[in-house]
Amino acid sequence: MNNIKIIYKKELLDTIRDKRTIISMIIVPILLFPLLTLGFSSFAASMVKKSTEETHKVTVIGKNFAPELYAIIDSSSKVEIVEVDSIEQAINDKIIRAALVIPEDFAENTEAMDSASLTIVYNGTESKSDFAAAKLRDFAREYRTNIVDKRLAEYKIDPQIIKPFLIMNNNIGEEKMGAFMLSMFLPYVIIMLSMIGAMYTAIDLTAGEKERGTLETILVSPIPRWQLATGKFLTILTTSLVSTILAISSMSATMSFGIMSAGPMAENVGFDITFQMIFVILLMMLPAACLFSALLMSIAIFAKSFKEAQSYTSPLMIIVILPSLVSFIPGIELNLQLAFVPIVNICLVIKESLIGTIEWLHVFIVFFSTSIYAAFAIFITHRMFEKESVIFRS
Amino acid sequence: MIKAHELKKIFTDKKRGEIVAVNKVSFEVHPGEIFGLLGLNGAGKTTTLRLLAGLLRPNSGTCYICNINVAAEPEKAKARLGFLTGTTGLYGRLTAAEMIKYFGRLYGLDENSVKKRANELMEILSMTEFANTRCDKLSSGTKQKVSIARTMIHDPDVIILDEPTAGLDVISSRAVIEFVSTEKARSKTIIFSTHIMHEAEKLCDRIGIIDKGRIAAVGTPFELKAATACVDMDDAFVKLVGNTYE
Repeated sequence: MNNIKIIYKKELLDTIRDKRTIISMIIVPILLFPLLTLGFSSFAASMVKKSTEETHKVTVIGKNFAPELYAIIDSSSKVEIVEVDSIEQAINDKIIRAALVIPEDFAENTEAMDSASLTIVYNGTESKSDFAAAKLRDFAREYRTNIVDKRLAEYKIDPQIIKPFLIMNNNIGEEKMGAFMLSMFLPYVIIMLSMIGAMYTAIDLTAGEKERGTLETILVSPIPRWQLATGKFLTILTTSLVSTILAISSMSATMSFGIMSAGPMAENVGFDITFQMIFVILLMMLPAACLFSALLMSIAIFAKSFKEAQSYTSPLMIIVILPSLVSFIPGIELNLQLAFVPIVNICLVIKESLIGTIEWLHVFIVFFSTSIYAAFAIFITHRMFEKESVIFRS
Repeated sequence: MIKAHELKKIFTDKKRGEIVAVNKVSFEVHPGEIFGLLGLNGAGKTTTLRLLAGLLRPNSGTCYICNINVAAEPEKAKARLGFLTGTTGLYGRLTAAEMIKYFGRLYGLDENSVKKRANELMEILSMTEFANTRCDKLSSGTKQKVSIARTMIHDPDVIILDEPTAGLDVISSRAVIEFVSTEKARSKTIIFSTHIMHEAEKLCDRIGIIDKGRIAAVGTPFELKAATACVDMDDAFVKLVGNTYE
């Protein structure tokens, strides 16, 4: 045990003195959450604001057939009416965003109490065109309501009569909507950071040592290889866990200091980090970090150089990150089968803990199944360290 | 002392199949003796020394370091030997003193002995002024001094040197040679590999010529020259191994 401690202490010192490790282990996890949240919410806000406040250019064909409707549109500051030759061409060329076509018989039909029709021309694949069309639709609805009110007044009927009831929305999940949205991408980000945190150190302590010739130096010492492997593994695990813990802390701080609520999405974000959430996330990430550290280490030790190790570990990165995208898929919930699928299970437990629907049996199964996978990966790593063809691969 | 008995090591290469890197190599080296292993690149010098140091396991044959079977008790054997090569690296982010002390701890020395021995070695090798400099900032000569100190931290009985002067300038090479001579005087058992003939001739009590994994000849430099009727060690070597690469 003493040897493992000596190796661990030295490897940790060596790692901390490396600027590149500090970036991937400390700076990235701390800054990612505030920047991601702030960036995402302000970007979304500015996009929405821009689209709704922007004055869109529109064309009205046949303004003489519905002068009152034209007056409503013309008096609004939300749109600007311009004249064009071909409306479809103008929409495609983005000269105008949408057009309203009023048929010749429009006034005739509405006055005769017949049903008339209007056509709004727009391009649904462009959001600005969509917004402009929505505005034209609002003007048309406003005008239609005016006509209905006028007709009812002619017959001396209370306008209330055509509104037998109102529909009120009461979404009891609304408080959890923010949590729901965050629960989609947080598991993925946490898993990714735990992996990135381990990656650089794993390569540096294995292939990096081979490249610098220090692996041979250390193998000369009377230390059993399993102890050397264990000391290195613990160092890699430490960097991974530090990354994960910093990521979770940064996430909690981001939420509680309300960087999020500074944005316009604030009212939708009923999100409080609870002690239970953090406990569950840590419980999940402990075996997961062991698994990642061991996997990365067993692959990196095979490589001859730092560069080679990077190209070997990149596919592993994709293999781990792809299943963690499961949290983005709506409707997938953890069941007894999925609880045994590595990474997918961790992701879904973290997601559930963030929404606040924790099934402790699942947590238990996921913790133990991941621990078993991690133990297996650690076993493989130790086997790799015993193999001459791996250690002295040149 | 070192004893190698019929050591054999086979590597499997995807393209070339099985390669016998070391083939039934036997020799003995006694305390106070410097044994030179002389051979071309790829002759099997490094593999032989790695087998002796317990870094590789032989396919057959045995070797002993101070009567300890290396394959059976590698950690015990390693504790008795110091191994230095031209390629063994230093941890660049540790200082010279930290590097030396780290190895002291790995060899099981207690904290007091580690400090005492490290200071002693740094004094002998006149490198105290570099003690707190990080290894990657040191010149190649100073680096080699750190490596020597690292090798000698536990005062081993057996010293294995694999081309220790490779890549060093004249002054640094001389420091290594001096170190080897001093340790010989302290009755250490020393094995030294090189492909520099005059270095071997000057330093070694006996030389083993290794060629294609086999020991082609063993003897004092004088004996080898006499046997081949050559005045020069270079000529003797070429005569013994043939002058063609295969």
